[in-house]
Amino acid sequence: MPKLKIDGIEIEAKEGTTVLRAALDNGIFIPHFCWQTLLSISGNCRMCAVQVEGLPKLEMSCNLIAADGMIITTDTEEVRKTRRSVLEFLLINHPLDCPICDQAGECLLQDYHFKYSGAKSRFKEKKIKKSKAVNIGPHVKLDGERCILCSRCVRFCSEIAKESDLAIAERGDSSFITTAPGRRLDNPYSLNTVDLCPVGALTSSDFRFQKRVWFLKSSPSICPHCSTGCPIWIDHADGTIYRLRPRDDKTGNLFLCDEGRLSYKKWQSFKRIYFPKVKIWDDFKEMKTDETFTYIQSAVGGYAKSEIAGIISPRCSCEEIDAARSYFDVLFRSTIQETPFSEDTIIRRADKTPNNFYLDRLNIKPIPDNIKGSVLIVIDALSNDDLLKVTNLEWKGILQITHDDECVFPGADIVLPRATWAESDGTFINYSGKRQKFYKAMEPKGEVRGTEAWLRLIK
Amino acid sequence: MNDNIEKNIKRASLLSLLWKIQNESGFISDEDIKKVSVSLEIPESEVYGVVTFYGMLTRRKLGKNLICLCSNICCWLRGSGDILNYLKARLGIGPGETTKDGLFTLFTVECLGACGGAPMMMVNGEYFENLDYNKIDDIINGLKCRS
Amino acid sequence: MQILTQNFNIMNANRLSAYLGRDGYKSLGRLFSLRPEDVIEEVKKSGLRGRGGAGFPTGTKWGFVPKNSDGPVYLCVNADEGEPGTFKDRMLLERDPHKLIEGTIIASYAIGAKTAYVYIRGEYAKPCKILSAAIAEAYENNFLGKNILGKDFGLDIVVQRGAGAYICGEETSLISSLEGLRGYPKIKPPFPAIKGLFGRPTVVNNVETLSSLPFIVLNGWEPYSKIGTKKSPGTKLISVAGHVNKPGVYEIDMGLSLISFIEKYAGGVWKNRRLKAIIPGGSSFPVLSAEECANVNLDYESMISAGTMLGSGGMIVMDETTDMVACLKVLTDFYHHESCGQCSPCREGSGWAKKIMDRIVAGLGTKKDLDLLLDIADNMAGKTVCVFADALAMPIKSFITKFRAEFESRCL
Repeated sequence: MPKLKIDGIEIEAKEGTTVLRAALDNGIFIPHFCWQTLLSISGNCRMCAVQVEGLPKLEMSCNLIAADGMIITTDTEEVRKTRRSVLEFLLINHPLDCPICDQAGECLLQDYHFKYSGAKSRFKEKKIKKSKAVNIGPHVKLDGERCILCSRCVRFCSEIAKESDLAIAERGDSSFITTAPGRRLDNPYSLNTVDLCPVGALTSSDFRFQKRVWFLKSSPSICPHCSTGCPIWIDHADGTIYRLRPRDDKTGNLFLCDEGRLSYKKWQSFKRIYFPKVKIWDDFKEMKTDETFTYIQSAVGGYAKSEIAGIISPRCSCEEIDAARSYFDVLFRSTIQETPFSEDTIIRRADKTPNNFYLDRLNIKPIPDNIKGSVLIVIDALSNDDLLKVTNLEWKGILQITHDDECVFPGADIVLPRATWAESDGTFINYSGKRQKFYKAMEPKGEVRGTEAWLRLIK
Repeated sequence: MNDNIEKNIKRASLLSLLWKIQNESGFISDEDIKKVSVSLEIPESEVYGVVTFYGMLTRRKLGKNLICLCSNICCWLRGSGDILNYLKARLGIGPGETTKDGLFTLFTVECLGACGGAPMMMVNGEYFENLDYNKIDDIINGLKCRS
Repeated sequence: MQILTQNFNIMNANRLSAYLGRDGYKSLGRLFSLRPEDVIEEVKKSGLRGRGGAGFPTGTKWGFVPKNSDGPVYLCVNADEGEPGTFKDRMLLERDPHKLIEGTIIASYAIGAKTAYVYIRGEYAKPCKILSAAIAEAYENNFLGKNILGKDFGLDIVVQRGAGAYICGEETSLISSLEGLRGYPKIKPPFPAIKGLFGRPTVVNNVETLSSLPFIVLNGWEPYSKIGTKKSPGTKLISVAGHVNKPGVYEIDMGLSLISFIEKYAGGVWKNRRLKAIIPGGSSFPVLSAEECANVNLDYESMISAGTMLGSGGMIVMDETTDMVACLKVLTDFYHHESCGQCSPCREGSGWAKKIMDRIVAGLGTKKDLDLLLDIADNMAGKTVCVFADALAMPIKSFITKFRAEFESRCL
């Protein structure tokens, strides 16, 4: 374990670690563009220069193995000059797009310029023109002029997504990022290139022009799209989710699949339910919670626990499932799923629900063929198979606690608006038994309540 | 280890295969890139990146005769500027362009390693050194006759 | 002393029969009686330095290859001669390809390589043909392939044509190109001697360097070390071009004075004009003004003390009528065109320098632009993955500094 000094601070690094990684792991920041923890070392941006005692030239810390006794200074005048010059070079052809660029506020070029340079432009020539706003893939837009050719996107697709969708074409300052002719950036992890792009060259089409990032609040959560359960940040403002980003919790994945990343949309579609509704004469009538009590009473009241069948969903948290277990004597699980059942050896799993593991552990079984009872209460949603099993039976009353009209199944008499995972604290257990907590990002609107609260209310 | 060696050999054959294709059909098309990608097991994007990196590989069909005039320092010192003007006047095209009859494409290129015979040009891969206007006339007329 | 050019004026010297008649492949007899490590020692003691441009001691370079490698070691022959002003390797390839093959066998034997790759620039179609024919002859006559001359050692030579990229003359870029990648230089460490072609220990040697080896192995290290100067022994091919009466490739003993060379070999400045400037070793090195030329010799040390480098020996001579501003524009155009674009300072800096030079030549430059160019050059040199950026910085700095008045007279 080599011991070295960075800026006077004694650091013990792991054998074979680079100076850059050792510094970052110990809270010493060295600016860099092309290096990224997931990817191979490229060494092309030249921003991470440091002074090594005893060596005449500055070294790039991303490719410098930490050695015992090394003395590194990250802030000499020469280092500062190099950083200023690298930034100057990167900015000479960079378009003045900040006012219309999504990356503003989280742009490394902006941040580093303000922190390490601040110099006025000396460039009086014509900037190079390249293609802008190119739909390089179904989810990603490319702006060739903003690109600083750090090649993070190229390396990510090749090394992590294992589909080399991107490459650099041409030579010199005519170089640009591209796909092969007729091909697109369409691997299942394409949106990670947007996270990785230090500037606004690769941006998310979904997020384009939606919100300035300084208005966003970031809340820690877990992606509910499949049983992997990647740790995420929910970026939201005013009760709306704008995007999901990977979160480094030191245990989970550092990148997301596109379907998981975009899965937030189904939890806040235009069909979202905010108020309870009761079916009166074949039509749903929206009403306030206290207005529903008489209807709920007539639907559920007076029945023994043995006559009330509950269906809980693998999209529910452990806490919701526990609440259901204490409420219901008769409890089954829905087999709600989502196609496609895309699975790979990278991070995606075919089980597109986050909490089947908990239902397995508690041995909560799917709906039996001969289900019977007087009252049916469904939490979240049913699959088509489930629907076949519960329809056309002599239910006296059917209640559904769900978040979206798409999930409301024919036959439901009373629908109560359910809080989504973004509006609740909770726990999911992923496919390998890993418990992961997610946290409430925003207050539910209208009369939306969590499952536990609804179950308390309808007792 | 063996898998890697095979992969390396396939990858290392890329440039030679691209030359073969260009020598046969004159340029490298989108179709060629797909075929090369499949046969050498290299991602299409990387094949495309290699094709566009090299100055002698072309993605479009060029004229029947390729005239590459050296425009680098030694040839410039010995009058390549005048030679270029003469070629432009004779052919009626500028660098990067092809004559309407498709006979000639003109390029200015970097040092061809024939500085001792400056000014010089490479025509269809053959070096012609110590150029003067007469020599150029002979070369162009000769090529016109041959077609 | 004629070591490299001894066969240049012999008819059909590129044919094996002619080559054998002139002590061709004779060094192999002694070669196989030595152990590879002894060959490395000999070359070290001979003082041979890389003739591609860097002048790094060849034997030392070979010594970096780990002994007892658990896999292949490769030799790469750098025949990507692209340095403006340099055309000496082309002569060697066309006139004496077997000497190169002999040198390749020696180098491969010394480092333990069983396969040597010749990377020859795409534009050298004719030299490639000649070399390939010579290689075929060598195979047919047991100088290549398995069990060369019945010995335990075998060597395959593979010829790979480049496709028009000057950067591929840089050794790690050459390796990238051989590997079928874009010709990007590789970050170091790892160094090619440890991890080069296909991740294996690799040595890249220039054509002229390798062609110098048969003499050294045949005669031992001492005779070679006695030619030239102490620190720059041996002979060097100088390819002189530009404003001289007799442009061409000449072999000189290291240490010959620059002015003597111009007068005696290159026939003096043409058209009875006065000398204005010389770039001694290819465009990537600082230019020498006429005054500076008076006191400098053609060897590595003398050039370095004069503030430039011997480089590839591609000498570019400029007479008094030369427009140094237009000349620098030709060079910045070249470097801008050939920058691989991998790293920020070079990719952007080369384009910026070109655009400023365009403006100056068009009469729209200012004195501030000259200082800006110098600053750009400073910000590029030493900050990049390879020395291409330095190669652009040196002409910019030397031209503007040494011909400042001329540049200023063109500014607003």
